[in-house]
Amino acid sequence: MSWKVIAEAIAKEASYRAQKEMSRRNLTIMTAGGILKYNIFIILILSFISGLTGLASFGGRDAVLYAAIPLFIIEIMLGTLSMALNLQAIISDELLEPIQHLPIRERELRRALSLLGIYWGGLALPFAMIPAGLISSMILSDPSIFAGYFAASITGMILSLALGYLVGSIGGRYTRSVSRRAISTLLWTILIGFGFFINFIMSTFFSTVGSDLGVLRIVPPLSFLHWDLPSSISSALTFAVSLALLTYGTSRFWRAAISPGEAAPVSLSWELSFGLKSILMKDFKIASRNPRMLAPLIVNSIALPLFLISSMIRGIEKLDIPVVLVLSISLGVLQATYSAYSSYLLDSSGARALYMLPMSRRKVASMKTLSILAFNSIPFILISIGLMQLGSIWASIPIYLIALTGSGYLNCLIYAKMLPKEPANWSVETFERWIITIIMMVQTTFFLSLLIVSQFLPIFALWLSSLSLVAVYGASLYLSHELRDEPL
Amino acid sequence: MLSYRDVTKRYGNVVALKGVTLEFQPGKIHALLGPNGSGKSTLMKIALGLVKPDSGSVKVYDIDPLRDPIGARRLIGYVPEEVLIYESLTPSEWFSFVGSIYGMDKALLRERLDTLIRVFKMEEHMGKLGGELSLGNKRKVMLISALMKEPKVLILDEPFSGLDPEVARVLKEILRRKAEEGIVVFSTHILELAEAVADEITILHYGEVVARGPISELKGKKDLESYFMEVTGLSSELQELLKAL
Repeated sequence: MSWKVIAEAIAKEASYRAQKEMSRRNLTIMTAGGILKYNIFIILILSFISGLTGLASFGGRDAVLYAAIPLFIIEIMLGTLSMALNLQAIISDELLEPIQHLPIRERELRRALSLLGIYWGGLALPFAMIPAGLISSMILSDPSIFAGYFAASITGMILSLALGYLVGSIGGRYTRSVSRRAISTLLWTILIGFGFFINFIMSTFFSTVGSDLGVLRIVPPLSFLHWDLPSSISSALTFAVSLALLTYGTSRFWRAAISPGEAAPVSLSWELSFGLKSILMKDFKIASRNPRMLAPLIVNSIALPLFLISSMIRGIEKLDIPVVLVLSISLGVLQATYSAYSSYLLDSSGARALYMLPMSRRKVASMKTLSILAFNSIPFILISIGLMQLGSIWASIPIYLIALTGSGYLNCLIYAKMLPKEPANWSVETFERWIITIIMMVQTTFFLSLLIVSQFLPIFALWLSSLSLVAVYGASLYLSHELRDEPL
Repeated sequence: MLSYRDVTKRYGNVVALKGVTLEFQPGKIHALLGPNGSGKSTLMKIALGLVKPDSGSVKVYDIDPLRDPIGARRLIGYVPEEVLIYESLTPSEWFSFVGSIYGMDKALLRERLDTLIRVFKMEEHMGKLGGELSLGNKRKVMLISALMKEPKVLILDEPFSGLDPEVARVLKEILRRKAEEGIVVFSTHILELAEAVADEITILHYGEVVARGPISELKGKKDLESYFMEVTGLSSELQELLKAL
């Protein structure tokens, strides 16, 4: 059982280093109850979304099959995103270093890493599918649907953990190799961003194969919902390959994580930067050297807004002025909401050094806002072009920028307020996951709802979104004043 | 002046500092001595407002770090015992960032860094990532970032650990020069080092000041190690430990 002890020690240490609180160190956390408690909030949210999707079964058995695909992809996407952040914590906090010299068998380490993946969000993943399967099987009185959804969800969980460890092992601890960094970033970006292009993939796929699902019945996740021999063989193979990938991925990751960095020729010339540039370069350099962190930033800053805007462009030729303005505000707010979290995680173990400097929390938030704006400069241009394409309204661009800046500052101030009071690593363990989920879910739900409402009540939606933008700036001012003298 | 008045700090049931009253004046190098867990690091962190005492007051010149930790950190150059460094940044990128936080002038930053990098022999390592540096070089990065803004107060927790003899000699000289115009406090476990570098010694034991004063006055005719063992009550404990070997 030493693998449980290893996993527990790593989880406790990550929590302590990121929060400097003793609370979780004294608890036994690697029990079924402990893991469930840690994941419960995300389980509830995923169950809600999955349950609603399961109601589509009133449309018949085909609807059950169509629903399985996005839910499966969402599970994989969430799993890899979560793994990218978890692996960053393992690497940057050097959580494996204390145990690397102990006589621990690799099999035990693989198991410990798998258990950590399940503890750090993996357990919640199957709940993207299980409730939908349960509701569908009840509506259609067919228990095999639940069995299929259940098997697909477990396979999805294993596969996403496996892909996470596998991709995480490519970058190693740190590398000077630009090509390796580029490959690793690209792989992470594809994995994490996959879900955002789900509509595009599905529509392309179904337009190719038509409404006949015969071809797809042997492709996971649909293979799990059929019980003929070819489908069963496909499902069994998918499960076996996922398990094998997890085994390979964890051991490859372990070796990469404990390997010393690459010895590379270093240039003797060095440069200093000053003022704003040096502040921006800090986050930019860290991101460019850490694919696990760069990929979530790319996805959050580019893939999400581009997905939203591209689906609007494909759906409607030209939009009414109020709708474009609501879209501008919503895009700006959501883009910054997701980027803010990722930008704090960039600092990881280095954040402890910031506590020695004369910095207020407001200053930290201001610097992070600048980073977000810099990271979003390319998406800003792309989105501006998209907005002009949609409505030809110049006002939409400054409004989008105002929303991006205001939301960025507000979210950065919220995270700055939550930072530990003593020098600590900033990682996924620093910010309570349920708080992060609430922050993101509330803002996402509100602004996506506004987008939908704007299709029917454009003026009302514009009024509401303008009001919310004023509220964002009001809240920013209030928090900014509160944190002006609060030290890091 | 850096002063502590009746400062007490507890971590749960453990008393880290018990009614400590101390003053560190400019013009001298002060060494903090004490066994592990005697409260040296806590005392240092309180001056920066990184740790809040349960009671008592602290002043860094005219600034109260409990009320204005940002102001205190502007005056203090601090190097903690643990290595705090960005693994993915090069030293030059980190120094640029620190210089910006202090609002340092370009020419001044360049001039000071040129000197510090040369004396700490870091020229060949400025383009390396933090994670690629050896422990000693990581500590040099921390020392340079504490020294580059010419602080009025220098607080160094075990600054000599991991440094090679040549650089340790340079650091001793830097401390000597800094002490001429400001306050220098460092902690160490190495008694010979304290004897060689410090003008005044403070010995902490179980969070209390058990001895304080110029080295010559404190040790009398004994060597510093014997004196240290005597005031901390470790002599008899040591005898027992040696017997148990």
